[in-house]
Amino acid sequence: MSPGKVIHVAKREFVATALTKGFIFGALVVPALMAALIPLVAVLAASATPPAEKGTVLVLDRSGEVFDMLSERLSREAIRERRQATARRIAENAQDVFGGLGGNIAGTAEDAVDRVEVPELRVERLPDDADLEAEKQRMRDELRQPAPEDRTRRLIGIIEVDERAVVKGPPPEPADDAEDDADAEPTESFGGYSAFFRPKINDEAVNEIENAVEWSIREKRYELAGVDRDYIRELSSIGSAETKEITEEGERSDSSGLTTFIIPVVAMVLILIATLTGGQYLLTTTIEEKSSRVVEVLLSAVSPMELMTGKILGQMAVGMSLLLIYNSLLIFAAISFSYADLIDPMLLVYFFILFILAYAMFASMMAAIGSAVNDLREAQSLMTPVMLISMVPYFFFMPVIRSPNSTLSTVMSFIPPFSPFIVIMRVASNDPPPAWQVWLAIGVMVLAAWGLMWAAAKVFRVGLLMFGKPPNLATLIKWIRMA
Amino acid sequence: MRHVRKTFGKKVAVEGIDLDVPSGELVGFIGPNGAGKSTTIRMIMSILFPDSGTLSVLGKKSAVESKDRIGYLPEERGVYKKMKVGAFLKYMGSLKGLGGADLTRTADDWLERVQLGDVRKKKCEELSKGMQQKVQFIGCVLHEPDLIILDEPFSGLDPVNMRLIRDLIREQHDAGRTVIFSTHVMVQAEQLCDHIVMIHNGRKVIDDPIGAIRSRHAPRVVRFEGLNGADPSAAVGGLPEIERVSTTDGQFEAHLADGVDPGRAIASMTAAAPMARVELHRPSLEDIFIDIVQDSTADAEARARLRAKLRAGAAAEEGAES
Repeated sequence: MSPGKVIHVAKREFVATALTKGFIFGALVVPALMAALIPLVAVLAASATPPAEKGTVLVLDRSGEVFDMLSERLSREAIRERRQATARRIAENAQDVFGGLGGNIAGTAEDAVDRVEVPELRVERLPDDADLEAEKQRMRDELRQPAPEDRTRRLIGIIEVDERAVVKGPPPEPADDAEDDADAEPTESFGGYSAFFRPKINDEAVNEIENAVEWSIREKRYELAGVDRDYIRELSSIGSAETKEITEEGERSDSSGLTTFIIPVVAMVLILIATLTGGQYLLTTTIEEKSSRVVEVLLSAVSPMELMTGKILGQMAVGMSLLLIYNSLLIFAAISFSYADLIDPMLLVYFFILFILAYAMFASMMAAIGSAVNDLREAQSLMTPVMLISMVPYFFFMPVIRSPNSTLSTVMSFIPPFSPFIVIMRVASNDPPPAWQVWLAIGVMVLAAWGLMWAAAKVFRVGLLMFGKPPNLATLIKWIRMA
Repeated sequence: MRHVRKTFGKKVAVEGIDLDVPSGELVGFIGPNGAGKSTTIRMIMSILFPDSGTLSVLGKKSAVESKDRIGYLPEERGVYKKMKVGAFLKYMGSLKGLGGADLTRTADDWLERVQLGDVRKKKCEELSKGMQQKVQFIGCVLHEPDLIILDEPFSGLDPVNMRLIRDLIREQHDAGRTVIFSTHVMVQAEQLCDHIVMIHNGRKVIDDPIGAIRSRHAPRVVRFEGLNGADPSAAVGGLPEIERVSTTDGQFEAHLADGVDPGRAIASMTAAAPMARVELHRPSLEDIFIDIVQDSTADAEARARLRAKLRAGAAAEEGAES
């Protein structure tokens, strides 16, 4: 194999892929746009509350104590006031977390709340002897009729408050258990409530109503028990908890979320993206060379092995440049938010080793598939297993990150081709595995990558000049045996 | 090439070919479609590997070791659609071990020579098929190879470009390079080659200099045409010098009897009937091919069928040539 030719092939592959408008746009402009969109999305999410629900809520208050408080709590003014309080609290938290930018988001959120319509609920009390079933039937009938002109006339919910909701009492006698419980003293307990809603009421209104019912019941209980509600509230409030990390330099706000979750996932996803991008391009350029019949011209100058090696290296450079771009951006971001010490230089070393191995395994599969088929459409069926394999890391990232040293995590670290993705999450976690385990896993990957390359080279050599009937997996295996 | 054999599944593509191509020769591989020409060439190029038999190319055991000294234009050829013409040629050249400013200049010179000087900056996909073919031809000879192998170099070219490529091939030959080219249009081989290798059903049926082939197949047929559209075939058929009369492509052909001097036969024929035309027919490669392939006892109908088959494959190019 001539290294010069391999390098020429790799260079062309890189230039033809990475120095195109499409690639530069996809690799740089799209992520930049996405980064710019995140604050925008936050603003939109804050302002785009669902349309305020309007309707009538019937309350059958068997306890006789809850209705007044509930009705007041569901008035528009009360709802609006509560929402604004929440928005202010979010704004304060956001300011703590994100600094100036967060403040903007929160301010926007608060403004939005001011403007947004709050649910307009007409709360009506049912007489104690009302027939609940008849009211439910009324709601059912309404579903079939067109909505009334005045939307607040629409029956959207029925609340039935239990007799024992605020005063303890014996539970209602079940019909058949007279024998069993004859000896047992019936224990007194509190009851609750039932709520019936019209379908497709937005969950914001449902929550508002349910919270109000619960709040009213609770308040009434405090009152009847003779406890000071303000005192209780005071007792249960802890204030804003402050968590800090002690580092060598001093203290800083808690970053355990970053280390335990974000860094491992980001590292894994980056490797996966770079691997699949390089692999995908490798597949398309191989198919292009085959379908444009340029391949035999190339084979007059280079051997199939040189061609495949060059192509794989070229696309590896493509994936590598993606990683370099994204990593430098991330490291720059980490430094500017003074999280630089979270990134261990050794992690970067592992990161690139694992990328190369993950890529080597996927690239050999892609090269084999690309050389075997006549066009991209035929590649789809052979690609399915590869795509499934690439999804496995997503299924396992939660259990692996939760316990990076569990049996599952350890075992998965030794099963190529998933292992690079699992291992990177483990080494990036706050509880990394021992170094010998990482290097052993890397050793296993090297063997697997070598084996896959070997098989791919055989398929590649045979497949390149095979035109006609699209091969299936069995044919590929036959080629591996044959060559 | 010694006893080279290649099969695809049950089909035998090349069956025991022995072949020597002396350096500096211009050799034409001819034979109908599917005869095994491309398979043979691909084996010479080590793109396919023979099931049995041995090959040696430029003194090495296989072409792999001397790829940089060989220029190959495959039958299945193409270009990178999105690549610029100049960049494509430079890439091909660098794969053959060329480099630097020389390479750029050589590529540009060649583009000028084939009247493509202005397409350097164009993408390959913007070129017509014929232009792409010229670019590929340049890619094949750019590195001044000792051995040039061209598989169907003329297919798809118009007469002007066909002549251009033919002149370039001749020029390479005159520069002392060995050229092997294949074609299924026998006329092209006749016009260009010193030496003909004819392949049929995976076997070599002729391997001789063109002069030797001609002299071996001395003309034994006289074509004739009656004056004013008369049919003189009965009169001619009755002559003792003539074995039989047949029609090929609407022309009468008198086959000379054994040992008869053609001059004497022509004289007798003109005496026998008023003739518009009497002509000694020099056998074309096509005729020779049909002679060899078809048993001498085979009926005229089978010959006509084979001739039609040969022509069908070559129709386009032959039409363009004439």
